[in-house]
Amino acid sequence: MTARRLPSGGRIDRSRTIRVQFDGRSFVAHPGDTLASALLAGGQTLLARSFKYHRPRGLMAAGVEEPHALVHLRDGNRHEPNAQATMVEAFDGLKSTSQNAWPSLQFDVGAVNGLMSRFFGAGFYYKTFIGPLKGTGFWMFWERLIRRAAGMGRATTLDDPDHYEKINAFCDVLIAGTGPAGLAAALAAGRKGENVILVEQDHVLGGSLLNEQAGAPSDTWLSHAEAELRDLPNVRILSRTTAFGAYDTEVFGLVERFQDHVRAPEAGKPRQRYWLVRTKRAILATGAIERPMVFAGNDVPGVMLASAVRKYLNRYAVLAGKNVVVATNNDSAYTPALELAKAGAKVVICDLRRNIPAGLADSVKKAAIDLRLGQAVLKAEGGKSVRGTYIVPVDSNGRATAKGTRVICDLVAVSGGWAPALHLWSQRFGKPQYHASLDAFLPPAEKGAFLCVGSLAGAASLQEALSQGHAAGGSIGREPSLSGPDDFWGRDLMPVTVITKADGSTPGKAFVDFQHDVKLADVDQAYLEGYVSVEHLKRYTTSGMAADQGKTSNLNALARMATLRGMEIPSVGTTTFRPPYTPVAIGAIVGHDHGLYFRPTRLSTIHDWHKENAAEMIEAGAWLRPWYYPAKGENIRGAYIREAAHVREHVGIVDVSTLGKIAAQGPDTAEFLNRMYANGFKTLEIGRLRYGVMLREDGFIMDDGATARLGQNDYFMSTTTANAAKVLAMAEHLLQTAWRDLKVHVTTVTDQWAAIAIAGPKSRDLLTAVTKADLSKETLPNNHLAYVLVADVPCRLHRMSYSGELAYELYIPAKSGRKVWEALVAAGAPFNLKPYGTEAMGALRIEKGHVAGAEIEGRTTMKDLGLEAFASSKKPFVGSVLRKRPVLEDPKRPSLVGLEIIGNTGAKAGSLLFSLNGPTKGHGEGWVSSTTYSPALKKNIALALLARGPARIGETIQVVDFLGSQTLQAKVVSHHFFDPEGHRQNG
Amino acid sequence: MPAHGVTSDGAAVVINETNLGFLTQLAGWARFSEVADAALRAQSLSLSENFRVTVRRGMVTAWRIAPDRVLIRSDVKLSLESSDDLAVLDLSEARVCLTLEGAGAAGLLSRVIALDFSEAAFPVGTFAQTALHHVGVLVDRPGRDQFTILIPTTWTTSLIGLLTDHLARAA
Repeated sequence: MTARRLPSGGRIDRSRTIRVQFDGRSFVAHPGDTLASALLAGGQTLLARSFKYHRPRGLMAAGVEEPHALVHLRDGNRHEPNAQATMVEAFDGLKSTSQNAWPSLQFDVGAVNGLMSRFFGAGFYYKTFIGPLKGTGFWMFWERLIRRAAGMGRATTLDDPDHYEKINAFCDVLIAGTGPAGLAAALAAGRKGENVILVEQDHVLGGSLLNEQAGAPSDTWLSHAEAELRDLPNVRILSRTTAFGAYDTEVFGLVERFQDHVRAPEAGKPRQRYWLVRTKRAILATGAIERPMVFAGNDVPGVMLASAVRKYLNRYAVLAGKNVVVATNNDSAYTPALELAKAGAKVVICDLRRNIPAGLADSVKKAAIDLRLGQAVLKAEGGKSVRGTYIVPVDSNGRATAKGTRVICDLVAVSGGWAPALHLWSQRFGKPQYHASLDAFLPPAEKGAFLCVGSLAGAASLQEALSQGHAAGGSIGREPSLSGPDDFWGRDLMPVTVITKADGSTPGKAFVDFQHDVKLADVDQAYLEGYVSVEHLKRYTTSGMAADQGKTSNLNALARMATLRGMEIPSVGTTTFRPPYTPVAIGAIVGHDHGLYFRPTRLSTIHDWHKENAAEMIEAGAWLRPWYYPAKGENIRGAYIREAAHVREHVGIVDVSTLGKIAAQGPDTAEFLNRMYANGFKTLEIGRLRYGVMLREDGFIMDDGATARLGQNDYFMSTTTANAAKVLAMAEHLLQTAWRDLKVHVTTVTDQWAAIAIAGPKSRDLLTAVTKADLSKETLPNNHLAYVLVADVPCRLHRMSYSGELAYELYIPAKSGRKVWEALVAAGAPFNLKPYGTEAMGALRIEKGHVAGAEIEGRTTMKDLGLEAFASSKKPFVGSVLRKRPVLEDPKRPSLVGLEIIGNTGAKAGSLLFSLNGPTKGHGEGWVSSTTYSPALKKNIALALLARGPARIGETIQVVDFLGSQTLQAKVVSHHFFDPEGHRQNG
Repeated sequence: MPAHGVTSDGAAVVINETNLGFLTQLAGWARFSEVADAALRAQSLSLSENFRVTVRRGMVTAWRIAPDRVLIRSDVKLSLESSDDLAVLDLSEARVCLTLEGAGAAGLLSRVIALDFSEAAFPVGTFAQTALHHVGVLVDRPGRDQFTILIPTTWTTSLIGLLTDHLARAA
């Protein structure tokens, strides 16, 4: 292959010279070049090694269908694997390297795989590594090696320094493709006043018009069309943008390579954008992709699609070869053949057909092209580049009928017909229809809100494409008129793309899927082994899978299977294309939703104080909560034990703003609460609180919390932090469906109120000092509330205890949360007030025997947790029927107990419980739910659910942590470890 | 605050946290329209039948957020009382008011909310309840290049961070 840049022509900016690198070698390029055209112009024809056999590969195409030329781009933290050289805009300083080759592209050790290709046929590792020995060990050993060998490029593990963004967009009509049909559609729709988004994957508009020689008549129309579109305020043009996915309800995914064409994005600019477009209708003008032919050596560098050869010639002024064999079964390859001849190449055309239109024959004759009708390329010869072809006469099935001739050449330009690029349509609607005359699958011109125009719809001429586009856009304004080459591929096409010897075999490897090294022989093998369905064929051979999505392979694989099965192609069927049409960087989909913004974070209004005071924070659902406040050099264990002990001795405050809070309002709220909670609420008086337990319909506990009655029709429910949304949703659901009879509204007020728990024997003294209110036991007994002022902020004080201490919860207007917290801290000095975190809060509640999320985990009943006494038998409530199921009443069910761990080591949550002398196998007789060191008892304790628990108080059992290989002994005790009579909290 | 910046399109945006004032929710049942309308008329407002149109009179704004709920923002505390037909709830502390102003305001919102912020689809004087990074918010458009967003108080820091993360910050 002796490619070279022509001294004139092309659509590149010759006034500027830039340099690109490939494997350390520098190449001259011009703005307007792609990496592929620059390398081809520089004579670099070996660009890659193939996936499985590491065969030398060059360029086959000039666009998105390129299966071979995948390269690494850039280096360092901007390193990017698997970039198609044909889609990479050349820019000064662009660095690229080959991939999937070692030690070098020229000499790749992996090429030895080609010698063993006999063993690497379809499904080879299933057959070879699964099954020879018992068990999965043999396969799992080899799987690691296979996975290491698989893949193409290597991704970097360094952080991506660039940013990506997502944009939601809406339009009346989305038009994919800016070839003649797409532009005509955009002009009509734009003139009509529709809100248009016009998408083009190239950096310039024009599509196939850009493959015409520069200065062609279509150039004038193109520039006028673009100017008009850019003047229309209702038309948004997105170039460097690929519509990669079409989804239900006319939603499209686009990726815009916004700053990929520069060395590094400008400050503040994203590298790529992910557009999520919702459109009322879509016009697809995505063109068609030329089909390769299947013959021995059809992957040798220098075997290219004829349309690609033409594009390199006319758009980039690169003559890809001097001696060219054009192999075709249709008219469309004649235009590039004539243009190549005009550019100085010696051209031989071998056409499978025995007759061609007279006009074409005349043109070929005038150009002194050697035309061989009824002949085809049986084999392309060469290793790292084409040296020649073996051309044979063939019958109507593509089988050689006689000996052939060897033709020396450095380029083989093939055209096996065209395949409309119907991927987006297929993603949305599934399987298209086969048109025998075109030997192609086509979408219907109109389906739902989708219109297909141009080559995608099988337009037979440039004018027909323009007319289709104009009509699809709304036929507003004058219909464009242009004439193009009379070379429609669908006219007199001979639907044969597989060329074999007389016996049906190929004299060497003939590839169907180039990106996955799937050979014709692999399709044959799949057939022989019974994988005859197209879906099985695809998965067994990997043809048409992954990044390539079968752009050049699908039809040839199907055609071969149809031949083997003696069926027509439509009877064999086709697979459905899946998004994305082209690979999309994960970064583009992620956008800003990573790191700190992977998901939203919820912060109490006191959060900043916690951070300023060195609190270690912990995630609790979406919340960040203070976990503990370490003293210098203190670890979590030291901190929580100190904090919990301090509360028992003095007074502590903890931020409990995260508790779910619901305003329940309306004249029927008491009845509503009565139905929601297992215990009764109808008698709750204004100014009083009541603890409540809520069940799911299936009888298991859903949540617990305290509810305060604030007024005649106003109640304030609190829930656990974890279940706040769930409780609100259940309440809303019931009020809007089953309980339409109740005049009740529920509204979340979690954000309305900050909350602080003040616990410890000195809590009343502290609060009295701060509020100047009478908070005596007589005035404010347990489960009562009062309205107080703290630092001039009106607050509500609930007397209730989670720690078992004398304790209060202070509800503060949220935006004053920090002010009140600081006022308490300031006033707390004489009382030795200290803040404590969730770890100490957990230790205190375990000591007291209060259940929390570790016990209310969706599988426990009121009976299991010793809460049966709260359940009212005088009224129905959610779950009241199903909680009485025999299985839930079984006395053998694990029930809540306390464990005093024997020894100095604490139990691990999740440890299983076994009888002291029984076997430690299976699921045990229960499990540890919560565990802590108790500063009050000065021992390790735990809450656990143990079969027949309450009946086993006093028994010693085994506590086994299978994950940590830890076995402990524990004494079963009441879960009320600390102050079981409640003297402290009621004092 | 305020945070000045530009979107990747170069359009300027100023994000600012402003004083919400008072926010009151009225909720009711079968007679809600009648009862709420009477309550609103006492404030020189009326109950909108449209769930996208903002009702504004002076410093008082009302949004019909559900068939049986209306949200009222005011600069002074409204004297509204709950009854057997009307539930009045103070939510002044539950929301933070953010304003986005500038030529890039709509573009910035289109990067974080799946709504059409064109003037045709989201005209001045309308509002929408939607999700911003999974958090329920109310977006109001008082001016062409001006949006007001009511954000639940405890999500504010995170959502402001996300919005400003989308901007190249001006010095």
